[in-house]
Amino acid sequence: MKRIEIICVLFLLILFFPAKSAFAQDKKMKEALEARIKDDKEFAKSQRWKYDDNAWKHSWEGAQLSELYKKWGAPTRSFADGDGGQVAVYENVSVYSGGSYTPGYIETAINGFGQTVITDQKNAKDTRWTKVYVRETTVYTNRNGLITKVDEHYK
Amino acid sequence: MKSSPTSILIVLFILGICPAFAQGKYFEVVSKKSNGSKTYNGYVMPANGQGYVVLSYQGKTKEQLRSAVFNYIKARPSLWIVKLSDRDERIEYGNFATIGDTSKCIVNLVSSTRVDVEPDNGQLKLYIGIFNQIYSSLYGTARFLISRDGVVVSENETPFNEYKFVQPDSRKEALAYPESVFDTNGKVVNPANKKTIEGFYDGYVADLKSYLDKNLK
Repeated sequence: MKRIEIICVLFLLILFFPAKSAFAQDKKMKEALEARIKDDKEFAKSQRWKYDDNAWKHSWEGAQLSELYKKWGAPTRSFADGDGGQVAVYENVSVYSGGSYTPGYIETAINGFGQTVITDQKNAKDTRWTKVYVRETTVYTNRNGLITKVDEHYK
Repeated sequence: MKSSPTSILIVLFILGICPAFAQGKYFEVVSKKSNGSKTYNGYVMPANGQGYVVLSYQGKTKEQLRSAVFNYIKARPSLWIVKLSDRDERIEYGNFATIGDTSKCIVNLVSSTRVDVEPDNGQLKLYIGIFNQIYSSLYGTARFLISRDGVVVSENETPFNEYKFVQPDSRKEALAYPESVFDTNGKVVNPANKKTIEGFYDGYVADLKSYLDKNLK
């Protein structure tokens, strides 16, 4: 190979490698940013949900308990707080289930000696599940029947 | 004295490493491994090594200092009382403010700050950092709101998240967190943001001190 060709090859190598590495770096950066933005979007969404949920609870503060009864109906239970106020509890039960049941089987055959032999078998598969969530909303009122606080818990 | 290249290099080296070890007047951002954990977490801690900052006002009673703190909160519209302990022994006040925008911190950084003040005879103890939360967004246009319960949201759901003092473990992921102060090994990689965050929290003490110095005669 002539000296000029070697110089050209070396020059191209020097030129090409940093470009390739910069391209790889750009690609990595783009992917990393995309992953971060995806996480950040989900976080912003979950914060908005919390914010709206709190705003909804606060929107009842100062209202008469009787107004809430008109809208929500009778509570699951209610009791006096011992200080002239009332505590009303609403329970909302949600049941979630999923999964499936696949029965098992045994396949048999008769061999040449008239004996029964197992040729194939599979155990039953049961992936069924059930979950019960109870959303408990507790409404506190003062002695004038005005709502002072709304709390929510999941059991 | 003649300046040799070696001495210039030494000076440049010292100037280069100084920001990494610099700390705020009252607070510093540190990385620590929590108990049993293999990973580092970042914290804003009082620089004096104690769990709180002390402001001394010799000769002033606990009641005088407590009343002065209440007056200070009243005088600053951006502050609000979060919680008062039994018999007002401790006053916790909150603030929601920008630490720095994209031109200063690479991203938008905001802080939901809680300052817990414990007045005593002759001194105030300030606890800060435990319930603080910094949020960051890559978007320069992000605008944030805080609810009275302390829930922070962005307008139009602009993507944002809790600030990571320490970059994520994977090197690839870390590329997307240039605003983090520490790398995954707890080494300072963004001294400018470290300084900005420390300065921001120092500001809470400096502002209270300045008010009390003027108003507590």
